[in-house]
Amino acid sequence: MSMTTQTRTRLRDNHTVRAFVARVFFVFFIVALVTFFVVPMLWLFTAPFDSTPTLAVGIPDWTLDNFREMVENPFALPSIVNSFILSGGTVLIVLLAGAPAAYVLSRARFRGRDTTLYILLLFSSIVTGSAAMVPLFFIALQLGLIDTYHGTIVILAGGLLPASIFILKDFTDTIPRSYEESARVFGANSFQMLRDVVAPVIRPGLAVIAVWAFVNVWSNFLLPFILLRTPSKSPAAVVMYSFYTEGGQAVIRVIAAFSIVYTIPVLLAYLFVNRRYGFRFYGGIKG
Amino acid sequence: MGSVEVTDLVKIFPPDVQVLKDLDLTIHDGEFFSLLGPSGCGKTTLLRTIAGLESPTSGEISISGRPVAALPPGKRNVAMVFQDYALYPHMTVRENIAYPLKVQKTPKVERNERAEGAATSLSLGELLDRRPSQLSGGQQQRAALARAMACRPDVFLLDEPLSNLDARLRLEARGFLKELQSEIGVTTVFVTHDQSEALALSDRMAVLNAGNIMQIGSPREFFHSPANLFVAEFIGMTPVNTLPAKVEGNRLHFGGAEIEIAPEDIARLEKASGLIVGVRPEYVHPQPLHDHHAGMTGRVRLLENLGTHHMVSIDVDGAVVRGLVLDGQEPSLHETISFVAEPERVMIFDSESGAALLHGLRPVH
Repeated sequence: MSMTTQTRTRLRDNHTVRAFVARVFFVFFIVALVTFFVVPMLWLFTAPFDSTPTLAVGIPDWTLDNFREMVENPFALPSIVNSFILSGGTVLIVLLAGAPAAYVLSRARFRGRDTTLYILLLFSSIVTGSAAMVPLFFIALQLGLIDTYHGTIVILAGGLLPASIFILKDFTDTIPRSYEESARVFGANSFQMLRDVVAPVIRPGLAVIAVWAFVNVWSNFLLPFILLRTPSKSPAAVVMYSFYTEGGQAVIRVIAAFSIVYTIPVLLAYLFVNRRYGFRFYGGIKG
Repeated sequence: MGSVEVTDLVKIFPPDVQVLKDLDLTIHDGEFFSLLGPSGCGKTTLLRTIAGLESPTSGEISISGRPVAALPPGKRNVAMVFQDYALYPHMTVRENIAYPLKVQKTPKVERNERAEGAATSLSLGELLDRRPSQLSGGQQQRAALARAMACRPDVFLLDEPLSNLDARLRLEARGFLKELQSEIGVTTVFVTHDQSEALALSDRMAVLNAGNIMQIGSPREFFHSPANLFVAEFIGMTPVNTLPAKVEGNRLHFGGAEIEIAPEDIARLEKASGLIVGVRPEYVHPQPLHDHHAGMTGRVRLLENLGTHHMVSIDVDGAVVRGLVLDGQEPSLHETISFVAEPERVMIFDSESGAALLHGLRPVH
């Protein structure tokens, strides 16, 4: 009798010890994981204000000289404008072409619709992927689109469209057809129906796609690097790569200051959409 | 003002699903007309075809004497209330109600006046500046009705407008809908799968099954003289009792009970190959056991409390017979009791075609 009680106690102790050790490991793991993500963020917000920034994180020696130096760089601030041109232009094309396409794919039934959707999904991972880089460059060269904004924008938009259409189609699927049908019964023509009912209702979906496309282009390095040959046309993501001394040393002071300027528009875009519409998963499960 | 005439209407969804099979239907001006039937019977398709949201495969539809089958929905002068109300989430109640008028290019001042008028008459006056998401289910339903009313259509088309409300509110909304309709007197076509709604609201109604009209008539006709077994089983708060029956001599036998029938009635039953007796639980009454005359006898297998009455189910030769018994007089479970049917409420159907042969037996002197 007492034997079994003892065994049981020992077993329980054993269990408690194991749970404790597991807990300790779990906490260490989480701390390591968080550090991995937090340290770069700390660097991003301290290094620009440090008079002698390095790649290490430390208490900064406060100064704004880094920003002065960045502003004096002939490529830094203009490249932010270039980034806005590329991102804005791409967003415009993605929305103007993607929304009608998604609407039709959601509402109309026609032969090969499902195949089209499947191909879209397939293409979204291929076009503008690194595998297509060489053919894309040649096509752009043949068409005289190298070193032009419109050429780059079209190619960037082409890469983002399949996924955008797919997501928007899913979003449109969740909107009851009765909205459109009631508008039709009340005598609205197709244009009125789209303008007054459909467009406002799918606006949150459009906003999410717009920010997604914007951020995607904003942070795209490879495509603009290959397609835009003139340094003065390069967007921020490419220009960042050019802050070197003649000796090939990275100019960390400028890079740090530029990094934070480069981050701000993306942060603002997220905050705007989050405030206005809230980031939700559209389609499928209702939040 | 607005009648609806449907002639030879056929609707086939490709490739070959025939949803409506050669329907003929006339809905008179100012009538509250219900289309009733189980899900998939084609009632909603019929309503949508009248609205113009579906085009008929063949056949003609006239509204106020004007053929409309070739017209788009907006030109038919009908207003529709959808099951989910379809209130635009980005517009206020006022904008929602005024939207049809805006589409019809009514001047802004008149548009707002009419929207406010419709809203006030449905006691939505306080809520004009709210969004649909800020309204309760009942308020949303009234907003959808107000929007339909403000267009001043020839015909109201209502697609299960009560089904999204909870039970208590549904009763309230039902009474409200009926008052509203008789007040403005607009022809109304109402689709529902709930027979109690159809009975309570309709001037006349039609029951559909598998794309065919089973019967057209007043709620009373449906309840007391169903055209066939399908309608008899579909209509009524409680399930109608159906039992195989046969005539021997001048007596009708069913479920162990026997009733003497008049010679005229016998003549009408002779042609049928087999008979089924239908009698509603409301017209089945318990009788003392020792009084062996004409009863269906069996053990009580189920007691359901309906408030004023109890529904008592007994086993009779493998079939279940239900009767309504006043509260306080119900038997106990497993007790053996005897039920007797009111002869003038007994309905008899052909067992093969399901067609009604008799509604109520004649008294025998």
